[in-house]
Amino acid sequence: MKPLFFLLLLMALPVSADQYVIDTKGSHAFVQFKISHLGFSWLYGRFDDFSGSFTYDESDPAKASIEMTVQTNSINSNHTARDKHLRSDDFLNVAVNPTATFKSSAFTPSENGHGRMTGQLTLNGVTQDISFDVQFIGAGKDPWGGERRGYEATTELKLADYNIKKSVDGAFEKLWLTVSVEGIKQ
Amino acid sequence: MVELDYGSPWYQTLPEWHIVIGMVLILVWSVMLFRLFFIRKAVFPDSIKRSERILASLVKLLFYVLVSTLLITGYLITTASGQSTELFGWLKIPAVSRFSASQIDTMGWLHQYASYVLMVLVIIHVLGALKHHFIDRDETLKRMT
Ligand code: HEM
Repeated sequence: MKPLFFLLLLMALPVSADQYVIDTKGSHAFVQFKISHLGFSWLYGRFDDFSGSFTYDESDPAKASIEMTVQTNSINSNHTARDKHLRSDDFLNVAVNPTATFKSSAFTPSENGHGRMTGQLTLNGVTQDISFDVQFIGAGKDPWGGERRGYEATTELKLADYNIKKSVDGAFEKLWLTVSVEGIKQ
Repeated sequence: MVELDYGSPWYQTLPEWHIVIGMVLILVWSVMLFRLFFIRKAVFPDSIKRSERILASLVKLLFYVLVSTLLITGYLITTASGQSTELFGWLKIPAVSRFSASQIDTMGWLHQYASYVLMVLVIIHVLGALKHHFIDRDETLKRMT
């Protein structure tokens, strides 16, 4: 009986959170933004090169965490000349700040796996607290023998808060950021 | 463009003219370089000192290198997306290759600073020509025409 007792005890111990690596290899993840073009329309852009991972524990969702690193020189707004300008020190200053990072500090779960992820965003060398509205999209076994879990997180930020030089005060300097990730369970 | 602001009415048109003039310069420059093979080298007059000859030859070489660098990087930045660039809605400038973000930024840096060095050299060049004409009172400026 003794081994069975130990086995039960082991099972009762809290399981450590599952680790998920964001599937950038298969490009099932996106760092996307939109910003107003002088109030006429939305300008969409994205970062093509980034990486990260997150943890999630079904039995304790509040412990969920995520870390991501974005290569700022991979900014892509589908216009080579504009991208060159966005990489310059008028905007992202990628020569000095080649990466932007997000490190979560707390997750507040709501119903259906959704919630709010708070953490520090470092952009253009400036670190600010920020919180994302997190939508749980789906999770489970994939057709190739692995397990996946995906989210879409959105937030708003002001360019001036990150010392971005060409940000104009007022109406057109708010940026909507969407981070869509699919993690592969390790 | 260094100080051309987004709100400026010139923001759309000046770069287009810059590129068109640049493309014409590329054609003119190609002919100039081609002619170098057939033209006899200018001989310095005896009044020019040895140190001045070496300096003049070096600066001349530098002019060729700088202008060539400007024209090549300017063209490559313009067409860096790998697709032909359209000017004024009809003039197409074909691309030869596609470049990565960091390659484009390096070429942009070269283009900017090569043009600054060129501008300084042009000013010194003009001052030098005027010095030969009015102070040394020699033939240098007249020989250029
Ligand atoms: C002697 C010839 C040239 C001179 C002196 C010259 C000078 C300049 C200067 C001073 C700038 C602003 C620097 C900056 O904003 O980074 C510039 C930018 C630019 N030039 Fe030229 N240029 C020349 C030829 C050309 C040619 C032949 C082309 C294209 C066919 C060209 C395309 C461009 C482009 C696209 C930019 C904007 C780069 C950016 O967005 O930063 N240039 N040029």
